[in-house]
Amino acid sequence: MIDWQAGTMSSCTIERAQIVCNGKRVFKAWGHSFSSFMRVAYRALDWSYPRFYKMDPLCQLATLATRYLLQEQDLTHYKATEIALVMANTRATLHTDQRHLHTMADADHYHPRPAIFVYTLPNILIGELCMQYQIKGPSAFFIQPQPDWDFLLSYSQMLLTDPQLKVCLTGWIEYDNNNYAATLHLVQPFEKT
Amino acid sequence: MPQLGNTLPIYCVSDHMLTTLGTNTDAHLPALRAGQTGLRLYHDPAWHRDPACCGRIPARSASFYLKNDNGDHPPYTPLEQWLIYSIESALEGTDIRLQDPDTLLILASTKGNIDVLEGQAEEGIPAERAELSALAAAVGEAVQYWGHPLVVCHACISGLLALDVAKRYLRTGQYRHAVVAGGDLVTTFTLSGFQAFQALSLQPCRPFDAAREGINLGEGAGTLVLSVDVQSEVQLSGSASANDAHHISRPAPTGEGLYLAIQQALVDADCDPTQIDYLCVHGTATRYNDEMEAQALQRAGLNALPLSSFKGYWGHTLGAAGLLESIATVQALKHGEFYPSAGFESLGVSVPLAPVQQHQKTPLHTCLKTASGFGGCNAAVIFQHCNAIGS
Repeated sequence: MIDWQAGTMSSCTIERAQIVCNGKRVFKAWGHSFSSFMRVAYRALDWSYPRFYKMDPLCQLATLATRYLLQEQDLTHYKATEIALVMANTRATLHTDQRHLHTMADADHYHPRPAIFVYTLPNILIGELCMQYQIKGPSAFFIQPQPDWDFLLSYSQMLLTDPQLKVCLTGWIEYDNNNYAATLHLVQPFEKT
Repeated sequence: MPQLGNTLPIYCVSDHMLTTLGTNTDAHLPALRAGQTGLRLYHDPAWHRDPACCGRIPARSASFYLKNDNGDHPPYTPLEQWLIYSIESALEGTDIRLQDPDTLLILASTKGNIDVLEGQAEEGIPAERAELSALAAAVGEAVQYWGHPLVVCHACISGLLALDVAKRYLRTGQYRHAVVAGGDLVTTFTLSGFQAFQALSLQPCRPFDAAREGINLGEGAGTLVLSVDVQSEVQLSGSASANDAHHISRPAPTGEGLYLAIQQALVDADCDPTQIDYLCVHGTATRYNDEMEAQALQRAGLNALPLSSFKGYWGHTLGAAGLLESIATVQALKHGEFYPSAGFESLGVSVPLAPVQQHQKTPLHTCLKTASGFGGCNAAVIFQHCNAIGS
């Protein structure tokens, strides 16, 4: 068996009201709703990114997990096309899908909104991260019945066999009805040449 | 370290298309040669409250789609029926089997069984089937796949990206064959969303035309079977994806990500831009998209080449679009012909482009297929006729 985790340079997990980077708890805030937890975790960062407030829960999770991860290890010495992104979850954008449907639930108050509809695609979180860090490399969003890290990390390693690519941000980002989980790994190729 | 198997030929062995124009690939060729659209205006309040010009797949009984059905299962949704039918039809006449662990099954879709989430599902279909994993499990079981299908959900490049994923796996040697299928429905969910963006045209769409007014959505499912063992005359010789890093719902005006994807696909295919003789592009017929593509093609030095968008035939089939249009591209290579870019009359982008206006027989060697989507995503795939390779 290959230990796919061996390629991880650093990692970050957001779960159960805390944020853990490389095994160390870096933030906690008990007793908050999801959206309020996102806000306090965002404010705890020395970072101003007003777009954060416009995002759906999945993009907020991906944005915060990446920001906390990159406090430990930054991407600035990589070129835009040297960074890949591999992301996955089970429920795609179910929460936002339901919000979009709700805007049309009543035929007399039919008001679908672009700002909601655009978040009904899970790869939008990849687009948000690419904008935030000027990442232009390859990416893919997969849907899986449960987190399959062997798959996600081995797929990332497969991408990284391309000598043009130096690093891959690999993550599981899930949100549904106040349940949330985000785990990100910054992955480097097994064999650096 | 050179990439393992970068020169390993990947053959396009077999394919299947299901759209408003027909229930197999061959049924699409007369319309493609005649430049004849399958799009029409529907006003069916039970389906969507506003009129919409679309490519819809007519309702058929499940028994039409489920050829090997023993009836011993809960009902399948329409999209599941299309996918099962498309996968089984594409594999007919090949020796490639989904029970064989050397075969990888990939499914591409943007919204899967969105009708289930909308409460439109037939009785007996559980609510969980709104999730793509549940759709994948149902389809996988019906086609007797040995594992759980890999699901790619990446907006309008899903289908093309699924081919890129398949290519990577075939090159590692982990699989010998890859069956890549995709599909999407047209329901109020997506219609209303694109309406909110004011992106829908009430006429058959007119990619790259001065009078273009927006897109038409289309229902579709398609399957492309790839193999490193079973030879055929057309190969998938390179692919890539890249992001604009610009905006989540608008393409970069410079075509940045698309340009990068094209460049990297060319490198991956070990192909010079001068070798390309036909462009099968995304061409949604929105103002922004078509202009962006024109910019990217100019930057890549490809804008003077014959170009077609297939959106004017069966509409924008979202997660299936890259696959169905790739299959049409493979047909163009096999038959040696350009298909008219339906709906085009006079150029409406700021870069000189050459959309195909007449069906024309001509030997083709190398075609570029591209797609772009929400989230700034772009993908490019290069298909080559075996006559072009090694020459």
